[in-house]
Amino acid sequence: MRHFFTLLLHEIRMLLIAPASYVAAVLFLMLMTFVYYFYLNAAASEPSDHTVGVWFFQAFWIPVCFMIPLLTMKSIAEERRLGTLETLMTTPATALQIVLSKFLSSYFFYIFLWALTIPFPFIVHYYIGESVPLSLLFNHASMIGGYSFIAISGLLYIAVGIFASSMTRNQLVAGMLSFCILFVMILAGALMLKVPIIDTQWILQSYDIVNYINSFEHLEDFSRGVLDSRPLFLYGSMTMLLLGITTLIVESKA
Amino acid sequence: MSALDDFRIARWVKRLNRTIQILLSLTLAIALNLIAAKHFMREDITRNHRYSLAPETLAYLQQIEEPIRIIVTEPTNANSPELAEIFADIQNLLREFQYASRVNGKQMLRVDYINIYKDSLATEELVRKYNVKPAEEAQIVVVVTSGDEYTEVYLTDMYRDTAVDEKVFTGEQAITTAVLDVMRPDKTMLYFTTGHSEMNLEDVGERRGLSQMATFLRKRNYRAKELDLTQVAEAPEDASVIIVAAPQLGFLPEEQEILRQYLDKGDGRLIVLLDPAIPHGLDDLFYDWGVLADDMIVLEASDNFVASGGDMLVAKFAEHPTTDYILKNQLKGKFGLSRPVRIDPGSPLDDRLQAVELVGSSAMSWGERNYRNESSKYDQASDLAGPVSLAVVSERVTGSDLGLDLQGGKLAVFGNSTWLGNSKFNIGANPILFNNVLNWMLERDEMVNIPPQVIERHQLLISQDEAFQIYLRLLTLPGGVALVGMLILMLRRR
Repeated sequence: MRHFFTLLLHEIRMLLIAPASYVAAVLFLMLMTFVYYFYLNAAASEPSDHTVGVWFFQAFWIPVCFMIPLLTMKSIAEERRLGTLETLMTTPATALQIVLSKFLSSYFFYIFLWALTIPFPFIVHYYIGESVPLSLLFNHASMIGGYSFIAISGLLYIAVGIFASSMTRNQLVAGMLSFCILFVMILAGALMLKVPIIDTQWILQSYDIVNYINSFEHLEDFSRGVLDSRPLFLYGSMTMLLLGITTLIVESKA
Repeated sequence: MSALDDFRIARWVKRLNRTIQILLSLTLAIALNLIAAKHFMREDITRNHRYSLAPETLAYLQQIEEPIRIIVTEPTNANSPELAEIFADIQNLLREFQYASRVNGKQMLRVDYINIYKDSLATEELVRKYNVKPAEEAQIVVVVTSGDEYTEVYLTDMYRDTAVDEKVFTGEQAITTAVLDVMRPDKTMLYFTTGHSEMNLEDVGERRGLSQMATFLRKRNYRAKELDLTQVAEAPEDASVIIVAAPQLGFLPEEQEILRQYLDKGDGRLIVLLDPAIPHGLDDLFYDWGVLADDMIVLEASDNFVASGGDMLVAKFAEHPTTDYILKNQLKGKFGLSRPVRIDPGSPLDDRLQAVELVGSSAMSWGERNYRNESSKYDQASDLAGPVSLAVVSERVTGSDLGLDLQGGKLAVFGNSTWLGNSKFNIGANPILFNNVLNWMLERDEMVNIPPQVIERHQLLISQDEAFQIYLRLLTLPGGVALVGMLILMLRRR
């Protein structure tokens, strides 16, 4: 375990001092600021039974699709390109510890970025004052649910990024691969039911399975404030599976 | 050298080993998710448990024996935000219905969303089998089916406007009713007595009409029939509850005897609504059941208990299964001019009889005996001091030597009838109290209520200029992160 923590601390330190991390963080926050501003305007233009927070989380897939490839594409691909992965494998650290340290450092950074969006409603309330009650901007159930979903789903999405990074030496290829997998994974379930074909009866037969893996379905529940144990198992088990496969790939290719 | 030491074979063995590991992990992940999909927990953490189903619905859904299918057509007008919201409300609700309808891990309720332009087979089924014609502008159609039984739920049943910007979603009630309708084709039978100028279910009149109640009963899967006690020797066998709704003429002794026999021997259930100043002829029956309906009127002196139109507001409820929800939510009922109905202090002692004074007026009210002389002052000698009981529910518990308690008959007497008339039926606690009394009588206490959900719609009061200013302030966050990044970059260069 000592080796693991050494590796983890190193990875976190490298992320915190890398300019690329700050570029990614600034881009992420600017995008999320725009998204929040957009939904704030929407909430001001017409009455709705949803709070801004619920809408805000609906856009979770946009930063996921570009942030996660950015955060993770370098992790293993770069080590392999530079030949440092082989060096790492000669140390007492195991392949699993290496993969886990890279996974957790990226995950912590991802969660940290999302945590930076928590002040949004407070900034709005601070500026506007009592005319816009905080309860309309910061609904506890919606916020707890929304951020819980981000935290749980983030496990799998980061694991996908690490997995993609382990497949190739080229960062760009790893990033594109990660983007494609995430795009299909997040949007496939939702898009499957909107396929422009004449008869979708065959899809209805597999409706339960599509629903079970549909991220938007989970987000819909969580962002409304309904917590469900199933996504926890889905994302948790798939994360473990992907990290296991990544470990095998690292072992075999090092 | 063994064959396994051969480089090529060792590589193949390693590959095989990895493939097996991946396959086993995949199997484990699938198995874990299959178990998780069947045994899961859902927790609604919203303040008012907005997305949780009512205990009544949950109890009904757990009783599903035959699979139920709900077909919902998707709105075809993409430019209608209102339709999209209605569809979202229905989807959210039906999702909870699906989750709650698992009996022993088996999904008993299935929901199919169909697009009438894409799902030709399902649309054809709707038209042919369920006699529903989803036209382009018909928007959302909800059909609940089970076996050969089916019923359509109309959008008008799912929403009720209470104010300009406030809608009440009654979808849970409407769909539960439909589920019950297809689940239990044998409906509960209520008999309404006739022959004494009673209130009528088909009457749409404001004060004495019961058409609102008729709609309520139909939605709750009850059937109603009229009963002329002069034409029968005994109460019908299929009578679940007999309701005497404000007779204007007294019951004959023979009629009273039929009701007494029904209550005593048949474990009957009787609801009596009385009007003040009108003799009803049921005094002996009431006496047996420990109920006294005085020939008085209740006068209310507290402004807090009088509605703007002069009607009496009832806010005093006894603790009883029928009033749990009302007490919890501090609801008020609206009654008209009432007569006192209280526990008879002179009725014979009977351990098996349990009577509860259910509803009361304020402490400042009193029962005026001398009302015919237009007196409206409390007279200590003749009048009844407040608070005055306006309703009594009485039940007889039959004990046995084995120590088992078996339910006997049940009687509910109200000193007012207009609270169930068309003008007041849908006001405040009135429909809830009536529903709860019915459920209590039918021993469906766990299925007492489905409260409607108020859909709160908000609009933020932010001008465009303010929004832009907010945007600039929100940008301080990425600005701050950029600043930290630059500082670190500078430190690293040094």
